[in-house]
Amino acid sequence: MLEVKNLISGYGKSEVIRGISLEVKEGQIVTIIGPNGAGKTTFFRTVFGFLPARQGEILFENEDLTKYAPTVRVQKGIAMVPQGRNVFPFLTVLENLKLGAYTRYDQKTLQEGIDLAYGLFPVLKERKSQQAGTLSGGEQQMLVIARALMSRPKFLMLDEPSLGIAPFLIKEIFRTIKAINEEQKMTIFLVEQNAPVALRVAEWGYVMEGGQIHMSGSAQELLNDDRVKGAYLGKKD
Amino acid sequence: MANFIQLLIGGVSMGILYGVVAIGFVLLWQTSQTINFGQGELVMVPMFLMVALHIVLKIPFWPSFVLTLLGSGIMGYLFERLMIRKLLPGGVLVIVIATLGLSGFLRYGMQIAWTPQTLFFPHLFSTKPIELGDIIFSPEDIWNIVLISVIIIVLHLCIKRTKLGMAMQAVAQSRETAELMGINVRHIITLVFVLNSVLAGTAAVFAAPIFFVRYDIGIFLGVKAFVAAIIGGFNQIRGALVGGLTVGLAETFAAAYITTAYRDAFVMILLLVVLLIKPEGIVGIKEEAY
Amino acid sequence: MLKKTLISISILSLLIFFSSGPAAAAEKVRIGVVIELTGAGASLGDYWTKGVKYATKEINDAGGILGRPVEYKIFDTQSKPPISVSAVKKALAWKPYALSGPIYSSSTLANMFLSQEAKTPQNVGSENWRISTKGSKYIWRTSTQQGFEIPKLLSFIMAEKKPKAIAMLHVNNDYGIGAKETTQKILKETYNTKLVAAMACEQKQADYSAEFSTLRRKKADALFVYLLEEEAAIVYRQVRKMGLKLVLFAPNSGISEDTLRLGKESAEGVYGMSGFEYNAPEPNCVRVSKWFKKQYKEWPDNEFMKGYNSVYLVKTGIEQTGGFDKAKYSQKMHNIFITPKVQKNICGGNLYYDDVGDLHAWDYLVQVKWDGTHAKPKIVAALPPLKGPDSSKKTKWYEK
Repeated sequence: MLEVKNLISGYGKSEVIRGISLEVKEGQIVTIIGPNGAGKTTFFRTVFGFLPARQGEILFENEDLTKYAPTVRVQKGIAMVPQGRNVFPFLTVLENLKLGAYTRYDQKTLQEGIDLAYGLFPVLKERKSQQAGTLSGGEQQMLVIARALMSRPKFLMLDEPSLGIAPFLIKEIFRTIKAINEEQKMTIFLVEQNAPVALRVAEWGYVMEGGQIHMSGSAQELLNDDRVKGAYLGKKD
Repeated sequence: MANFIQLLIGGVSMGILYGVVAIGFVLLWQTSQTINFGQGELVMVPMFLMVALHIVLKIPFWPSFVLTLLGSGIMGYLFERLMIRKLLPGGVLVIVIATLGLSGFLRYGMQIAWTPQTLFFPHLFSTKPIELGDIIFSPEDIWNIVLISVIIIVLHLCIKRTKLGMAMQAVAQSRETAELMGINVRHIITLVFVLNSVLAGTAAVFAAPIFFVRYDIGIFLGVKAFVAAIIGGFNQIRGALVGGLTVGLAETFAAAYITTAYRDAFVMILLLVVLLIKPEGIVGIKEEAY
Repeated sequence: MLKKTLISISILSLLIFFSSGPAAAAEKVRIGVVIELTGAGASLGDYWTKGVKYATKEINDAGGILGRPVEYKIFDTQSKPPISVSAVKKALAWKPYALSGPIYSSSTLANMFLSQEAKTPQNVGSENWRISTKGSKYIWRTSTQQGFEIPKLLSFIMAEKKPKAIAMLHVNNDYGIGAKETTQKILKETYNTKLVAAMACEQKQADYSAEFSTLRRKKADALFVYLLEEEAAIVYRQVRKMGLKLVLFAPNSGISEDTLRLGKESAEGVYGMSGFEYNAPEPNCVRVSKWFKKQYKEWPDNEFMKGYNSVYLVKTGIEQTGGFDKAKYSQKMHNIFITPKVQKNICGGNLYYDDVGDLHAWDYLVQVKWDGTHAKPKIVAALPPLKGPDSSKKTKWYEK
């Protein structure tokens, strides 16, 4: 579904992403793990279009995205949940959700999307008229994910969904991610520092370091790999 | 009491006019972090346009009004496309300097191209005063208050209830997140500039019979609106309105109960007090909250 | 040897011939026009400059002043006193024979010491009474100062309208504050009464509800509108809008063409004083106003006549001196009675300049009449000057 070839990008003079090639197959959950500062977020921002690609191709369903603005990428069926809690703080939960469906604003899809969101995260229904800025961190993360689903994407990108969230909520969020993948047949591309959690839900994984891909393999292989274990899983057998 | 009500009407009829111009400041700041020091000139130019259409070409009032708003909209569009869009990456300071330059250009351009004189503009409404006991109403003041309120309410509803309005709010709260939603932020910013110009054009038509039409009226209105926006809260539309009314009422009451000589000084003192006690403005929200 | 000398002489004469541009320029009578080209006074400044331009053309067409053509250059004060100081400095650096302007009293008060220091005649359009108390021998007014205008106006209003409570709105600058002081003094000394309210207003002020509430509370039945042109027109409109019943009277600025053009029917009935009006019964005022009307399709403001006279005053002074000595000019132009015989084109009829450069001339008491399309000042009476040869003459009534 997504194929990245020799991608180079960065900020100003510094080159952060130094030639990355990878692939995400339709229907899978694919994750990129790696340490802080490896360039995972920069890579995601480049794929979504917030940063221009300096070189290389980003093929989505065999079409090069590099010439498109983020808005167009949304219309092509890509949604991203960036790092941090990017809610619209002074809008209500419901208004936030509605904005998620900005590109498909017909009443029917809207209602379906809202029902789906409330189904996945019942707490959002309880808080629907509350200003999003007043939600807890975990609730905001749920809202952001639910909002990304509102545009009915084929391809969902999640940047560090576990960042700064209470452990019991992390589990719930990842369970939901898995559910979205299975029930909605949605392809999910995930960046995570919390490698064990990510690899447990993913089918395929890439290890990124210093702006390059160091390893790749099925999630199971990576979970069992000694180097990965030592570096990212925080345990040595 | 009659006196008080009389002053209240006077203060509100001025304040609401400052408020509607101040709303433009807020819209631009929220959506594009732009401070437009040419705001007053966006009122001045439509005033002259209105004179050209209604008085020079003798086109009836309503068609002139519509054409003036149309002209204002086009001006706002060109302003954004030809200037702001190119300068936005340079940051606020560049915009401030550029809009200051533009305001001077429009002001003195109008003086040279048209006239340094003040031009006449007729009353829009009856000038026959209405007496109600001790209170004397001027239909002009009442109509100004009513019509501008209606415009502000319609604007408010558009922002709260329509898809584009929601998109404007989204852009105001976080541009990047708005882009994530598939909102074309560039288009929204252009739209806001057009909207701002149309609002300023509306203010122009209501202000013309009160102030007459003069090339340098923009400095006066621009400064009042800017002060109003700061006093009320630069990041809230409500704030602009509250600020406008506060300035209008403060001027009037200070002039009536203290002295007329320092009416402008009181507004400046008020500005200082607000900045010291609540820098985000009376109903403003701290920017850190974003 | 002779040949060499001849060649040298011809080269020299050629050089002189070709360098005669600037040399001839120095022979011109330069007038530095320090004026409100932009800012609040721009409209007045525009009339003034047009007056200067017209007078210059007229004088040059008739052969200049003692054979020298007049040349002027404009320096903008932006209607601000501090800027006017630097404008006068710039103008003086240009080495003018005389200065013309500014109009705003605050500007004149700020910059007049410069012309005094430079011993350069300055013909101003300001009316604040303090200007003639500063001891400058190089300042002349082109209109009657407020200290002479206000008593004449008050004498008419008190005698004919018998108001019980007079209030005053004055612009919050030297022009307006000077007028308030003069008015209070005259009311106290001559009529043993006082203003029930004196309220300072800002330029560009459009809302007068605070002022009006005070007027009502104090039960004022007459209002002295001592404001600039635009604000005066706004006040007339608001007085009508709020249905206030008041005798309105105003100085020059309140009944000038610039005000009436804006005030239209709401200016109906306003009394005022003026020296130079386009419809004044004085041939030169009528002549230049007709020219203006033809040229610019509207009647001129009195500032046009004042600007015009500012150039003719220079001509008069130089002709009276018989040369270009500024000290002698200063001497000649004080205690001088300028009649049409002395200077046939100057506006206003008989002008008397006293020992401090104050102008004493006939003033016209007018009342504004609305004829359905234009508000026009209708002359009620011609009042003689307080000083000078004409001061013994009687008031001429045109209608009563």
